[in-house]
Amino acid sequence: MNLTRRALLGGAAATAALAHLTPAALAQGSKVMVLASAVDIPNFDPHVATGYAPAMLFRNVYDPLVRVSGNPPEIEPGLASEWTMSDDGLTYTFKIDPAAVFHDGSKVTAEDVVWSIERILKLQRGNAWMIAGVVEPGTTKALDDSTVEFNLAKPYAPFLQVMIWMFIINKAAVEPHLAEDDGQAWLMTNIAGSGPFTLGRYQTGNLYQMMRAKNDWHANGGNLDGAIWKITRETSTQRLMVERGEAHMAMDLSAEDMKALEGKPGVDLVYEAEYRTFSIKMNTQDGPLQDVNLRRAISYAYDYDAMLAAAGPAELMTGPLPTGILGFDPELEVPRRDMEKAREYLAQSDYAEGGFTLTARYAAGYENMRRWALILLETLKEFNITLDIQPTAWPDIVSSVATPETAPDFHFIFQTANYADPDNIAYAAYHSSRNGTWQNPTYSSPEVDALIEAARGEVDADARAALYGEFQRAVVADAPDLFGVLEKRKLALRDNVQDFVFTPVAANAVELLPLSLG
Amino acid sequence: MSQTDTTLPRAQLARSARAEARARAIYRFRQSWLSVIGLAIAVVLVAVALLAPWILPYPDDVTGAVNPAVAFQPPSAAHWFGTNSVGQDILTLVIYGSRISLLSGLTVIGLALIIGGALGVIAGWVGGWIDEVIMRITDLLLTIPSLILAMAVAAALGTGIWNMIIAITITWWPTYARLVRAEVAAKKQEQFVTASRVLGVGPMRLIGRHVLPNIVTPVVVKASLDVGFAILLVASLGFVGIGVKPPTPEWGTMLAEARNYMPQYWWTAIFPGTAIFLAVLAFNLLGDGLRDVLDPRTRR
Amino acid sequence: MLWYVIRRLLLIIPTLLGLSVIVFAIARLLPGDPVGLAAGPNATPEVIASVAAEFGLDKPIPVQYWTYLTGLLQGDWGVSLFTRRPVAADLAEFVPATLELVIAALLIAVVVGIPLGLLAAIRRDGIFDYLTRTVSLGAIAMPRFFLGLLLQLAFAMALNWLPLSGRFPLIEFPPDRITGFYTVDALLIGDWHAFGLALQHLALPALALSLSPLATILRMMRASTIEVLQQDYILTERALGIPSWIILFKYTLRNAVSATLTVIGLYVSWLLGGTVLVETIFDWPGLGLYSTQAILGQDFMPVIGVTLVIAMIYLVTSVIVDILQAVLNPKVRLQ
Repeated sequence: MNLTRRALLGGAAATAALAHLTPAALAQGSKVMVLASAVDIPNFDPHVATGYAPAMLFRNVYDPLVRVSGNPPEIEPGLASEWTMSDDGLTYTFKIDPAAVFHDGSKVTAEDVVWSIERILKLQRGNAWMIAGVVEPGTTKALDDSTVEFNLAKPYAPFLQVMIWMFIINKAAVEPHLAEDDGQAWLMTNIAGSGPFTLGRYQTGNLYQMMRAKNDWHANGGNLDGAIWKITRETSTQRLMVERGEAHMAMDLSAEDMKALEGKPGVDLVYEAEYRTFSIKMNTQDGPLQDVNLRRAISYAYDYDAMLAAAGPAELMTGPLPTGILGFDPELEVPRRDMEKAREYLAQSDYAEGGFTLTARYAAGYENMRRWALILLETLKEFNITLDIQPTAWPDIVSSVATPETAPDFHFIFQTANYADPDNIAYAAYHSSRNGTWQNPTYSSPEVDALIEAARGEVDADARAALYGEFQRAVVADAPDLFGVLEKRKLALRDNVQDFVFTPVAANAVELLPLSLG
Repeated sequence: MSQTDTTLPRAQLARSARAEARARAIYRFRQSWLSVIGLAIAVVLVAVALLAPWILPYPDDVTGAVNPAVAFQPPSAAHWFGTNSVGQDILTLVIYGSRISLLSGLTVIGLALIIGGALGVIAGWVGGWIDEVIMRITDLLLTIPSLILAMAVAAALGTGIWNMIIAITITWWPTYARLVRAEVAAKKQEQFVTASRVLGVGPMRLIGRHVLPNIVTPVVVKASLDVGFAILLVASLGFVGIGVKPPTPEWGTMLAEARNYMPQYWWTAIFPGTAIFLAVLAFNLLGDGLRDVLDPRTRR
Repeated sequence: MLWYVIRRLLLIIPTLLGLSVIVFAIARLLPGDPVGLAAGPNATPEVIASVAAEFGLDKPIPVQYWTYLTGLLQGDWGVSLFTRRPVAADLAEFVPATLELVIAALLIAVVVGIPLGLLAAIRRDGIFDYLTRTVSLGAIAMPRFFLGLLLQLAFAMALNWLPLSGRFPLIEFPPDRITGFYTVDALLIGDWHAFGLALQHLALPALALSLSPLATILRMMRASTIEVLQQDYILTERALGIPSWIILFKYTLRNAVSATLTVIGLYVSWLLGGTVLVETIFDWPGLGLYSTQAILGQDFMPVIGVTLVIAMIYLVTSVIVDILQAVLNPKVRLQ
């Protein structure tokens, strides 16, 4: 990195020593946007790392074939300027934008796309599961220098939606570093992309700086010179940074933080519905909760109003799918607090007397989950059931759900839709092939499996919606989850950030390209 | 005949001498008004902890009752210390938290005393390679800052008050092992011990009757000082997020949660923080006072 | 003397070796299995197994230890499970940050504690004496994290005099690395602007960390000065009309140095442990923050690495303190 320490600041370097303390100091200087986030970016390999912070990096330093933007989200051109789908839904052809170049100046070719897709399929890490069984190795072809053809193994309705996460790597740049691991070691700390930004200095666990690529080829971009992803673990610190003008955007604010920012000069608040669900999954394969009537009883006894009140800006979920997504049924009948019904179901179960203890586990540090666990504890008291609440380190949660015996009775989980399609949540959270993973530790139903598979292969939108309708009713009847809340995405921005468009797909993995600083 | 004649006055003499020493000690203790304050706070703390079930303003809050409707009420007549993010009464949680802190602080020191004391006696009395092994392990553990070691063990064991107590005890016993070993080894060399051994007094009896009583003083002084620091370590673990399970109220955990609501909901932080401070302060002052009383040589 | 120094330094090696066994055992034998997480949220059992193999975690623990130890001797501290970065590189980044904080805290303790202690001794039993003694008792009992919060509340949130957290302003580049201490590096290249910024960020965390050693130094200084003042020769010199500040300076200087050394010896371990809490509060990118993240994520290699580094700092400091004490005070015999 041959950047002098003043280069970034330009003319603003001469600011007095205390200048950074005065609000809006950032606004006067360079066009560097500071984003405060609690999440680190441990690995730069777009085919390996997951999580919203790495996703943010990849969206800005790499390009996928197509992008997504707006609310409701629309597919837009990325590396591909145009594309076509065959009538049977099996063949997709993408034309690569002739202007597209990698950071080293070389043209992005169809060969790079094919190589990247094959690498994803070979590594089977990161987001590879999204196309597993749909795109088979060796089936993606470069028709010419700028045309790529995908031949799907079966029709897959959300194909374009998942392509936004398939990032294209500069094959020539990685090839000297392939080694034994397909370049994983090298790409972990190096960028070989074509995105509008490149990575500048960084310090693990502290900050990551992005700089506008020298040969940025993207049209219609904003005026940012760069951006800094600052790891800020406390949400209150994130809030204060935005309030003081030390950051332009805070990613993980709590409802209390948002309330504290209300009416503060120079701060814009964003509350938007997002496809991010919270539910409490019950262990359907081990312990008392195998009994569907006990699960129903708890579903009718849980205090959803208290849950909503503790959540901050949010709405209650209506069944397993996020509100508003394709196929979502607003008329679906779901359990709400009704103690009479709850006692009826309890009487039908084998556990009417209570007198035992159930365990609940959530990722330590999630304040809202703690509150919801306390509400569950109150609910279960009415059935003479004690709740053992275990805030647990996330790695231990992941390993504990591997088998039904080690999984807790209640498993608290947030799920963010990585693509704007019901298949995402339906497959990951309710298909039996995902048993043992954190999104679906135990639930397994042949009927639901069949509906999910049918829906994912159906190309006709109305027929798909009907299948998802059936899917929702089947899941609600089994009562595998306490369907919780959809928390509104809560973001705070300085008011000089321009052209921010909220997209409900991984909204805090912000795309910097369209943004400007005023 | 002569036996009764000689022992009686000697016993009386000893008793009056002891009484006088005690009176002098109490005088010394009372002279130091800081120790008296420490004692007073400690007594209040223990009383509050013992009486907790009867004096809690909102007993349900301790077992996890939530009431989001009254979240973040500032201190008022109804809630002297205000309410937290789920509408629980902070005074209630702070009062009940004293139980958790005292219980874990005292248990940690008790366990550390037993484990460290036993190993120290063995090392000091038996000597040889056993002494070497025990003391080398002790030295090794003492090179790691106790907070870091306790964090590592507690994180691996998972949350829960007993896991936390185990983790802290693991970091604490070495100091007692070292202290007790040094005293035992020194006493072992003294003439009366050597003499008793020659006379065939068994080691258990010898240690129990003649060696241990002589090392009570330094150990008690250290233990009373340490209770404060153990309470501090408990709160520190809670603060970094490896503490007790909800709904158990614990001061450090409460403070960590309150950090998110600074500065506007300051009362969520100030009261648990002050409680930690007072508890640690009380045992520090008390320990200082006890040292002056029992062990005047080391007085500064 | 020289032989003693060499022997003490050589003894550090077996200590670290023993420590590596203990820490490795603690890290590997306790429950918890982060491999699943490292493999990614949607990993299949095969992928998880391959990740375990990649890090050698499928081998017996003694074999794992041997691999680690042989690597350590070649400067390889292992690789983090989550970031897959070499631990040695991370440590090189974070050790200077923590040392800068700890040394700054000790500096504050000495520079403020010694004169206050002296003053308290001279004005013995006066209001100032009582005040400092009471405050210093309170200071020792004050939890560092609570103090840090209060300092933040007062100086960063309410008064807005100092930055809330971090080590340097985000959009500026810290001085080029020479020592890794931002303040020192800024001075070395003569950049006063950067020095000021680094100092502002250092102020609150160093203050939060310094209070306890400050109080201890103050108490020791007071006690030893009172002792000196009661000596016959002092009274004689006073009677001879030698200005009292010269007497004081002459006889208390050694006490000051000795108190400082004792406190450093006493507090190294405490300070290194204390950085965990202070760095967490002030978002200071050092060993404490690094080890907290590693411990909570059960990322073995960084946990072991941090522990060994901290132990090493502790052991080396103890040796230096012992030697200096002996040099200053011939009554202390080196054995």
